[in-house]
Amino acid sequence: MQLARIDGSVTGTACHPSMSQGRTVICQPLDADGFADGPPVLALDQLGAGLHQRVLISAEGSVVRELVRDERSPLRNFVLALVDPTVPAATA
Amino acid sequence: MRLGQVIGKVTLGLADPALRGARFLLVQPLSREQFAGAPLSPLAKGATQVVYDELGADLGHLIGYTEGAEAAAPFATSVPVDAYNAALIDRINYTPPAAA
Repeated sequence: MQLARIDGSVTGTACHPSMSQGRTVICQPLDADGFADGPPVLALDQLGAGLHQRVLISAEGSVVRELVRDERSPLRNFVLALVDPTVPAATA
Repeated sequence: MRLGQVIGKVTLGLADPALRGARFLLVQPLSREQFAGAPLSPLAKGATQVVYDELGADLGHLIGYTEGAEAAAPFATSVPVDAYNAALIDRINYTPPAAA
């Protein structure tokens, strides 16, 4: 899993059926200090994460294929958990 | 999944039989500034990808594409594809926190 921050969302008309089971959010992967680390990625969110909320996203397709119950899903990033904002280690 | 802009199309002369009838797009990944609405040309740095397309994206469209092993998942047979167009994107709502 990867620590990331929700920086927005995207909408579209046509997509792979497995993506219509949730919202597509823009996740900014974070490093241990909570700063941006690498380009933003798009992830499927079913937990209703809020803007700028820190989340854990999956980095492997196999877990997503199980979660969306579609073994043909091309997805790799999926919001697995919402991180409690009172975690002291991160500075962001 | 990453966001990119379709900047071209690729047609194959000789290809693996599993790729018969496939459509391929030339896609340039978007930079963080372009997420926030910066003009799409000049193109962002980064390798241009050739992406397998089943959704019918056209030049200039923004798409969400996946790379690596997950890109080969949507096929019944094993197909030599490592970038797959999973979504046509109409709107980007990108508001990073000011301090990021």
